[in-house]
Amino acid sequence: MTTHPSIFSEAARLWAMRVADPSFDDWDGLTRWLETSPAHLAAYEAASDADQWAAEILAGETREEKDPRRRRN
Amino acid sequence: METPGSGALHATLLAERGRLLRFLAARGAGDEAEDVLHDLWQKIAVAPERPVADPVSYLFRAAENHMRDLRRARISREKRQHDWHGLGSSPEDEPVGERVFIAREQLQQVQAALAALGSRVDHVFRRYRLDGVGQADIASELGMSLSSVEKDLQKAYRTLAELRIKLHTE
Repeated sequence: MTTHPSIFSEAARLWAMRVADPSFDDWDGLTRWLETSPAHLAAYEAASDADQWAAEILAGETREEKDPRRRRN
Repeated sequence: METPGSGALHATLLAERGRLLRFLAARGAGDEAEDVLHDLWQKIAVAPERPVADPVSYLFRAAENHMRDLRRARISREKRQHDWHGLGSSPEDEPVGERVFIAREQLQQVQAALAALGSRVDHVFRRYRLDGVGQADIASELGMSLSSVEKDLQKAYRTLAELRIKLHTE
């Protein structure tokens, strides 16, 4: 398993999630968190990979598939 | 290596150099942060000129994206070397039909996982991650509190991270 769950993964996921916000601006906070432990970077990269993976997969939806509610119309 | 209009950005880069270097070092550039910042600036300077509302945010975002690009390039380089030595099969070796099938399967799994979290979480995640709408804007769109939006997103993120591990280890 390459993406090992660690005690940092919850915090890392929160950072990856917040960074995905177009108005995210706490870069110094992220820097400080990454500096706290060498394990934080790996956890953050795994969380960021998962975030990008999901976004890329969903971007492959066709318009028709995009909204299941619309299909009924 | 400046294009007209990048003057203001370059001034910001110089003013924020210390913060940017510290971020890049922590973000994986380590001792090479100076070189990485130099490469990043080369990339920014040749990009088509665009109005930048917040130069500081723009530079940090560019730094984050640059580190992602470097990671992606390193992973695919390692994968090519691995495949070259005949140690594994690369997606390129698989028939196109097989790849399309896998992509469709993964899409269905992601859709099902999000749907299982309820239509609101599903919608909030899509607005956030597909439409690029910020948490504050989603909150006002849906008449929700910011913390409820964040909680919905956390559910989606946790579920999708678990799904990814499951699909990649099956």
